Order: sequence, then C-alpha cells, then structure tokens
Amino acid sequence: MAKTLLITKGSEELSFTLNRIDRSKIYGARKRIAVDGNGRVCTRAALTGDGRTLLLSGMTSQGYFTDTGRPVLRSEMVGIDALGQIVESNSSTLGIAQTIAEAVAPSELLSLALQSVFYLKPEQLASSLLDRLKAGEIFKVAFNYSAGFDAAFAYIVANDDGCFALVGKPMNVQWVEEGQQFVPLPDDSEEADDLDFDAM
Amino acid sequence: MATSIHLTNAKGRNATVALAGVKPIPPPKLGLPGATLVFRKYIAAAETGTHAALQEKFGQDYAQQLITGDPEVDLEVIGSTVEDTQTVYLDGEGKVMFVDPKFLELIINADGTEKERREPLETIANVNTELPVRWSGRKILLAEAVKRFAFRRRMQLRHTDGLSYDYLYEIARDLETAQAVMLLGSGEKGTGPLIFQSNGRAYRGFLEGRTQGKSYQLMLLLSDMELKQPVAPAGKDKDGE
Repeated sequence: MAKTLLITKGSEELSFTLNRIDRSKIYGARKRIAVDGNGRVCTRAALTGDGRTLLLSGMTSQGYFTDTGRPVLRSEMVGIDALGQIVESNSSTLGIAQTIAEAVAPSELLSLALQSVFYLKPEQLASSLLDRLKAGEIFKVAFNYSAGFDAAFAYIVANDDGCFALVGKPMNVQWVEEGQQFVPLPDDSEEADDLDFDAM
Repeated sequence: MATSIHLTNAKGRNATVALAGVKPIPPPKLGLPGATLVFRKYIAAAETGTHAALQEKFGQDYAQQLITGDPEVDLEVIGSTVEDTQTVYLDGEGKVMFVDPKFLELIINADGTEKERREPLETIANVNTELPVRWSGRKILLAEAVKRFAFRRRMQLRHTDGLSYDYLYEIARDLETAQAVMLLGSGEKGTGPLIFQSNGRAYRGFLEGRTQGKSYQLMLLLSDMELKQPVAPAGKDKDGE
C-alpha cells in the first residue's frame, strides 16, 4: 500500500494519499517527434567527437571518480554542506506523522522554489484540520518523499478542486537598494476565470 | 533566456528593466570528505555489446556466451570518457540519417491519449520586444493566488538606473499595500502568456512586491499550471482504479 502524507496537530491526525501532478495531467502536453522520409519515428543517438563511436540508448553510464581515476560507489559517499561539514541523511517523511506549525502566511509560500506538486486525497472525510484547510489556512510540514540529504517543505492548501501539497525549498531572494546597479549576466480586461492555461 | 523585460506600470508608462534568476539555497553535495570527485560519463557498452546485437548474434538465450567468451566487452571502447558528442538521428531501420528528419508535434490529451499530429508551431520570445508586457490591472489577493496557481519559476526585477529604481520601488510598494499579485500579459491586449525564449515554455506572469525601508523585492512569478484535480489516465477513473 502506498505511503501517505500524515499531518498532526495536538490530538488530531489527518492523512492523505498522494498523486504527483504536473501540467500534462491537467491540460495534456505537446511533444515533438522526428520522423524519417517514410514517416517512421526516428531515434536520437550521439556520435563521439572523433566520429568513431555511435552511442545508442543504454551504451553509456556515469559516476563519480577520484582524481586518480578510481570509481566511487554511491554507498561510499556522504552529504557535504557548503562549509565542508558532513550532513546526516534525512529519512522519508511519508507515513510518519509530521506536526504542523501555526498557519503560514501566503507570502511565505510565494518565496518557495517549487520542486513538485501533489494532489492530495484525504483519507478521513471529517476532520477539523481539513475544515481549517478548506477555510483557507495553509499548513507547512517537513517533507522528504524519499531519504536523502536535501530537506524540503510541503505547504498544504485547499481549493474547490481539492487539497494540494506544494513541495520545495526557500528561495534566497536579495533585497535591492537604490545604489545597487544590476548588470545582467550573459545567460543568466478579462475576468479572472477567463485565464487560459489550457491553450498555452 | 531573456535578461531584460519591457513592461508597463499602472499608469501605462513603459520601461525596460533587468530580470535576474533566483536560486534556492543549494542542497548538500555528495562526496568524500577531503577529496575532490569528478563526475564522468563513460562508454559502458559497445554497439556490438547491446542486448539487440548479442541477441542477433547468439539467439534469445546468450547468458552462457557472456560467461565463457565475454563477447560484450570491447576493450578498445569501454571505459572511454564521453565528452563532446553530436546528436544524430537514426531512421526507422536504425541507420544514421545524413539529412535532417522532419519534426512533428504530437498533441497529447490529459488522459494520455493522442489528440492530433501537426506541423510544429514556432513561438518567439515576447518579454523584451517593442511591444511591452502589459500591466493588466487585475490584482489577485495573495491568499487566493497561492491556492489557485503553482508558481514554477520566479525571477527578480532589478533596476538599471535611478529612474527605474523609482519605477520598480513604486510597483513593489503598491502591490505590498494591496497584498495582491498583478497579472501581466503579452500582446496588444495584454492577455497573452509570457515566453522568455524562442519555442520556450509559455507562462502566466504575476508581479509580487515587498519593501523594507528603501529596499524592495519585485518578483515575477511564473505559472503554467492551476491547482486542479488531475485527469484520470484513459481507461481509469479519477481514483486511478
């Protein structure tokens, strides 16, 4: 059975089944394909720089190596933060009750670097936590879909279509002052309901 | 990717200002303490060592040949680092094409079924053109916006001189006071989506502003998706059963 997102506040618990969603699951998608002169679908491959080897799907692999060329197994590696300190792996939060903090201001959610969106189906139909969500409150819980060194948060919101978890990490936004001149890096009257996301 | 945006404000005045990417706090990196690791892509199998090639040579069950003769190992090729490569296309028979293939666009329904095939539609970037991105006048309260849209990307608007500082600071302050985001749109009517590069993804754009003394943050929030119940895959109901 799939693990659930379980949130708790005081003695109240509420669990949700998760369904990761993206634009294609709501509006559909566009996809470009290449066809040959006979209308048959082409496949992509890569030709090495010296032109000697044609690399088909499944012919390459990748990994980390030391400066002496020794391959390093994933199980040998640890998480290292920006200061060079070893960090502990975070376990998955699914199926483990996560305590919600006080309701979150909408502006905090707008500072989120969104990584994924989940459609949530409540497993309990009657719950005061669900009522609070439907009344417009936003809940924030720690969220790791799978174990790893990265730590993210899920912001849970509800609207007429159901409940959703917006998962991501805080952004590093700078305040801009008058004296700061910005030099960009080279690469670096309708009604509201008429917003057309479908045709984009 | 556009590094500037040409937009109008509430008074209809236009200006071109800088657009900067905003990055999340970087996650811990994988590594070994005190060691420098390099990430490398390498050749793991030669063309003669793929499943299809081995099956053609030895038949369906070639496990014993792998054990006794190592036919999949080509010491000349395996282990070579893959660096600069060129993309090539293989035709329907798996042969390298020496002419460009034709491209088609598949339109896929939300339930995963194919809707149509057509000639690809080319789109052009529209955020820094002669026609400015328009201030629609449609404010959406923050509390409503966060429950309605998934904001996939964020970009920060930055001034490039004293005049554009006043211009952007005023927008940020007005939006902060209103506790709302402002819909921006492209085209003559200002109702079109924002496209940042040729054939790039189209987004709905919203401005969000904050101030702190004489400092400001004016963010362009980009969304290509509303928070809606997903469509069930073909042959399944909404619960995926």
